[in-house]
Amino acid sequence: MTEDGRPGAGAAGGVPVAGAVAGEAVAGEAVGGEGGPAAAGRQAASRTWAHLRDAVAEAVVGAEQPLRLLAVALLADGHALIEDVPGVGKTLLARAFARALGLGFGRIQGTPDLLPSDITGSSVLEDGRLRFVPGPVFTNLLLVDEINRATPRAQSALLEAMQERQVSIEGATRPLPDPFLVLATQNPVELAGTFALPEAQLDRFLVRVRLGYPGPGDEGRIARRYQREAEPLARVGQVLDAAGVRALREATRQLTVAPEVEAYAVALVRATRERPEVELGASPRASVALYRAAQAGALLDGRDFVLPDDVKAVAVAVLAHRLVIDVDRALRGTTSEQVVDGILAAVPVPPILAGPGAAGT
Amino acid sequence: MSGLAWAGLGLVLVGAWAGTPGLLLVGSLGLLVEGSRAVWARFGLGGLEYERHLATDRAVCGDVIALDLTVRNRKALPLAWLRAVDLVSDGVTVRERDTVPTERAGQLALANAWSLAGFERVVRHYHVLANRRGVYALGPVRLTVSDVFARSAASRELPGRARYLVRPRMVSLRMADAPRAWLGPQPARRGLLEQSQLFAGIRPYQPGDPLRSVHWPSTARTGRPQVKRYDPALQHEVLIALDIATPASDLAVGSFDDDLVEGLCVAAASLARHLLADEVACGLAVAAFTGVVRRFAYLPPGSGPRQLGRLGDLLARLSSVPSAPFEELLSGLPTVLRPGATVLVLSSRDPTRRLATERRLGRLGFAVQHVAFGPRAAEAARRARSAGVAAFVARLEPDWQTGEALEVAG
Repeated sequence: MTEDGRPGAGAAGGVPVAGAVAGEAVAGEAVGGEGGPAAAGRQAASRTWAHLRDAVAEAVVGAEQPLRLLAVALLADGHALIEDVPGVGKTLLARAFARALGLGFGRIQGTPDLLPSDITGSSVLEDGRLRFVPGPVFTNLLLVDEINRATPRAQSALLEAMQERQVSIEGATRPLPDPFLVLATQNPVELAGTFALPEAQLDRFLVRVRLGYPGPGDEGRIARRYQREAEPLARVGQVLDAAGVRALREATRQLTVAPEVEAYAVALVRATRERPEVELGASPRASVALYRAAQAGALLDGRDFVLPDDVKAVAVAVLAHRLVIDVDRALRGTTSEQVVDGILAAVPVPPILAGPGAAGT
Repeated sequence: MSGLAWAGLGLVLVGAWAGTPGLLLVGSLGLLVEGSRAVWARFGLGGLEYERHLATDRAVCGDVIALDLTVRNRKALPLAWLRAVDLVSDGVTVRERDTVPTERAGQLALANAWSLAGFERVVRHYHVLANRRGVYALGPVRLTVSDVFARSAASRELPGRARYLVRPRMVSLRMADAPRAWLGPQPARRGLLEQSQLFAGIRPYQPGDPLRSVHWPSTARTGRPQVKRYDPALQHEVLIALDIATPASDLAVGSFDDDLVEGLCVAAASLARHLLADEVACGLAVAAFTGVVRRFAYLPPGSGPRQLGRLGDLLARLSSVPSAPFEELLSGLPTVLRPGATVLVLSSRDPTRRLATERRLGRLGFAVQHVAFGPRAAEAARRARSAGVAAFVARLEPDWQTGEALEVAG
């Protein structure tokens, strides 16, 4: 089921993409290999990103960079944590993103009485037989709103789903649809009745996205938008489908990453473990995440090769939430974002030279 | 035109009429001096930028914070003399430059002077010594430009402040006896004390279960009433009730022992850090002013990664004088704390007048531990014990500024 109740794409394949221009190659076609088809695929990816950006902008004002990170998470086959203060549009962004993608959509509201079975599903007795009723996790795009209000027991139910794209219920392992993306929102202010996400779960989010307060001009546009209509989401059109997402993901995986760029990404992650301000640095999972996120960013820009700038562009979003800052440094105002910025300034950026075997050739 | 300008003009005219070169020269000089002042008065402050940059807005007592003052002259007109006077909070100490008192209460002046060529930028690096806890501000700044003859030509005040907060020191804890007693008897062992936040599952409804415990989604799914069940409370909650008043406060309203207050804040911060490191949910309650219209400062117990920072911020903002009687704070705790929590009463005063309130808290289900601090701590702890309240003595030697550990003994 899509965000507005239309039949979802699920794992079965495509719905005509309403937002694409007639005659253009849809992102699901002719991707991979060398030469013309690959170039066409990259251009389609770049156009798709432009369409997605414009579609979501119909509902969400001033969120291009956060939306780009969500797109990166989608293409890199990861999950996204949207963290910010109340009222800045976290849930609206997630819903608009889901609507524009036309994927099956499920939503879980994090509450203290949430049971694991409320997430994964359970069996019910019907006519003397047990029938499995799938939970909301059996969808393409799962929005977990206020994840830190759910108990640790409920949060752990998501762990297997996020990492392995499957859930184990009552002895049976059931695969989740493809694509599968978890968008979780949380309020950073730790009120009574919230449960901080453990490091193991934070590590499973590819990126952490922060929206921030809108500028004065944008805030005025937001107010006028709601004056114009009660539900801005109605204006968000579909620009992609499940097949298109899978094709783009495959194209992402095939992007060229030069050894120098790969070494640069690894160097950044390793540097997080050597900083004195950091009590616990990023894991090797972060290296994979940074690698894939940089590929996704390059594809969105229409390139078939990854630059160090692509790594830098996603480094804070990929690494900051994985770091545990030393208590004494945290007391002095050091944040994980500052640490990552310091690492980016300290680790030398490798020069990428044009020539045989170099990235881009 | 100023008087000097008129005089200069007059001398020029007289000199020209009388053919006296001397008068002409003097008059011309006068016009030149006034002319230069007029130019700097008109254009001196234009294109002038002043920035303050603090390396951090959070520090711990004893830290040194880098401060950069940057002035930019974005015009061709040089500034032979530029004076900047920053108004800073009382207590701001800059290593390289002295602050001087001003006529504004609670504010000092930090003065700097520069000479700037056209399109020049100058950065001065200073170090602010975070000697005492508190909230400090730098700004606004008054900029004054002078002409080439060092005569003040124009002045302007720029609003805007840079603020920083100094948290109290946190030292390690050395505990001689039974620190586990601080955590009180574990609520789980005292019978069923379910924590409503730890939803553990459902069970079939039994007669007598309250209607509000019914878990409706499960009831609809199974067709039979199901109620929620909760895990017993496992996480310890400790509230540090800090008595900011000192024995001097008992003698005269508004008086306080500064070193003792700072020592209490270091002790409270150190206790909190130790408890949070043990994954104990820790909070703070103080009857002190914090710059807002509220008689009590209260931070609910929590164990999240930012809790220690919030505790430090609250301690930094506390006034050195109480805002209300400490007994009133203690009496109000049952309305905000969950039964079974531990209350650490940290005080430097004779507890005799408050022991009845502390015992009452104990009868209401809170585990009250009295932590005596200061020169009369041993006697205070003895009195608390004799009244049936568990007590400890906390020492920070040699003083709150250099002590390396908070020693706690039963």
